[in-house]
Amino acid sequence: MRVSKLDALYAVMVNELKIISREPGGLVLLVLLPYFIAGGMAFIASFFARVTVGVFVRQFLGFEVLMLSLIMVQTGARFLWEERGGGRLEFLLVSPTGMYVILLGTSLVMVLVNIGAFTIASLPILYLNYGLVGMVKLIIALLTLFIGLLPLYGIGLLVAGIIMRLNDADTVANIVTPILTILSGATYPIYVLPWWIRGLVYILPMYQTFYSMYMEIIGNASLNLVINLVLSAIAYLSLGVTTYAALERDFRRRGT
Amino acid sequence: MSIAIEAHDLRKRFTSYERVGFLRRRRVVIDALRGVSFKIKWSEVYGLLGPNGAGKTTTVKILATLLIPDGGYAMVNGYDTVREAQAVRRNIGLVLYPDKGFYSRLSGYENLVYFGRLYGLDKSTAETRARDLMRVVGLESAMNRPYEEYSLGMRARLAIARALIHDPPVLILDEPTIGLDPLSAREVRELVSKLSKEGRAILFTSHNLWEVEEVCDRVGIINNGSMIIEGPPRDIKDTLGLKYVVEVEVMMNGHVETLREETPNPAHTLRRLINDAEVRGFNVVRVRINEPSLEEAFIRVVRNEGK
Repeated sequence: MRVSKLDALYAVMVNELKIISREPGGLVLLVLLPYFIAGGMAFIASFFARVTVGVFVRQFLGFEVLMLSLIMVQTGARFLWEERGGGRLEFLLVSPTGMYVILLGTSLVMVLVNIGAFTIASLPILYLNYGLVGMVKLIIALLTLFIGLLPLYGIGLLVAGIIMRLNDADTVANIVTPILTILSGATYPIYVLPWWIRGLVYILPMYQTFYSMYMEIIGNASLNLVINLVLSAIAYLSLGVTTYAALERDFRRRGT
Repeated sequence: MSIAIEAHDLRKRFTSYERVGFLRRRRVVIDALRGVSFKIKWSEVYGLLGPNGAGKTTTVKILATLLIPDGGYAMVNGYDTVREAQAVRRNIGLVLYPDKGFYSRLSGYENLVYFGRLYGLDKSTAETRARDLMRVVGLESAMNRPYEEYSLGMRARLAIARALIHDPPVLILDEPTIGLDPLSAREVRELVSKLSKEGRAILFTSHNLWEVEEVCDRVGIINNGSMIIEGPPRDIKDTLGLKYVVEVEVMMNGHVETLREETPNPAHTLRRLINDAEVRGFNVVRVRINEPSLEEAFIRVVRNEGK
């Protein structure tokens, strides 16, 4: 019986979860690390809380978006590299399941674990400051976050394709990580940036995602922000899918 | 349709770079395939032979949709490997590296189930197939052991099981017995023969020439990216004029002497040698006919090609 892409996605996620949890200390890292990070972020954010609660929430969400951006952009690319080294890439490439599904499933495991940790860490903060309404808004903000992950997945596909083309994962990761961190605009006030860097921040999906979530939580939700995010998702996904397809075709032409 | 795999005038050129200084490098173009053609029928095991760098793995990768040829085309079960790659993938089982290509922390069984699901099986079908195949390849007792603890022979057998997980009609086995001990290699050969009897078409590459001779119905020898000679092993040996060696041991004046003759017609020569011995009053102790091996054919073809 033939199965759907969703079924294959689920299989990839379960497999990735098994692999991570069987690394030495993997399960502990998988379960505990996100909470430590979330706690650490909350701790850093608490310094801003001395100013206002809004700034605290802003920082907290900013760190979450930044971390998920790094996961979304890098996990698939690093996975491809590891699969190649382990002689598994060829078998993934000859399977009828597309690499898009495999790369998405691999990234989603860490994304879900981290979202879970951040959600649990942020629930008490939001409840204390905004009551039950804050918790409902968090759920809507999380839906916005999922839309925001799509353009990041598009960028992740682009990075994965570049890694296949250049045959080098470390250099690409070392360039992409600081660029993403600086241009996220999610953990600092972007008005301090020169106008042209601010332009880049607006173009990239991290700031849009973070700002949409933040506005939702503080009660200034705007449909325009969500529409922008959806448009961004369409643009970056199209860019990622077409570029990855071209680079994978080039990979098959040059030799795997 | 009686043809399972067809390669027509396959051409592939690779570009690599050689270091010629601290930063400078020189472009090197390698013609991996220069027009390779062959056809494989259903229920046939076809051996692709050639020295290192001859183009065997390039051919295998093109048939498996991992490489796009620069010229020519390849069809698997009627599907074009470039234009209908997805359909080809559903029709092939691939063994590429018998010693790797699995997740080391997962058990052999878990690996098979996972690849089964990637190859389009639902969970319960993948589990049933994986369990059955672990038994078929003799890994039933080790199915829950992590892959990293498997011996080379076990890994090779698991690689074949993966190639069969979605029950493909075509198998592409690139040196599936490399590094295996004789017993494991024999088991793999027996399995290959059994699979071809089920109606599957099998492309089998190996460095082990007598193994190819034992398993394959037809053989193609490629060198420097070109098909040099093709046909059943016996026909190849005949075409190249390789001779049988007929040996007749006779008792002559109390000690054993060997009469030896190279011939293309062993039956006729054997009869003549025995007649001669009997006419002279010698007792025939033992007779032996050494068939020319595919190895001799291979060496002759490759050497002639190099001249």
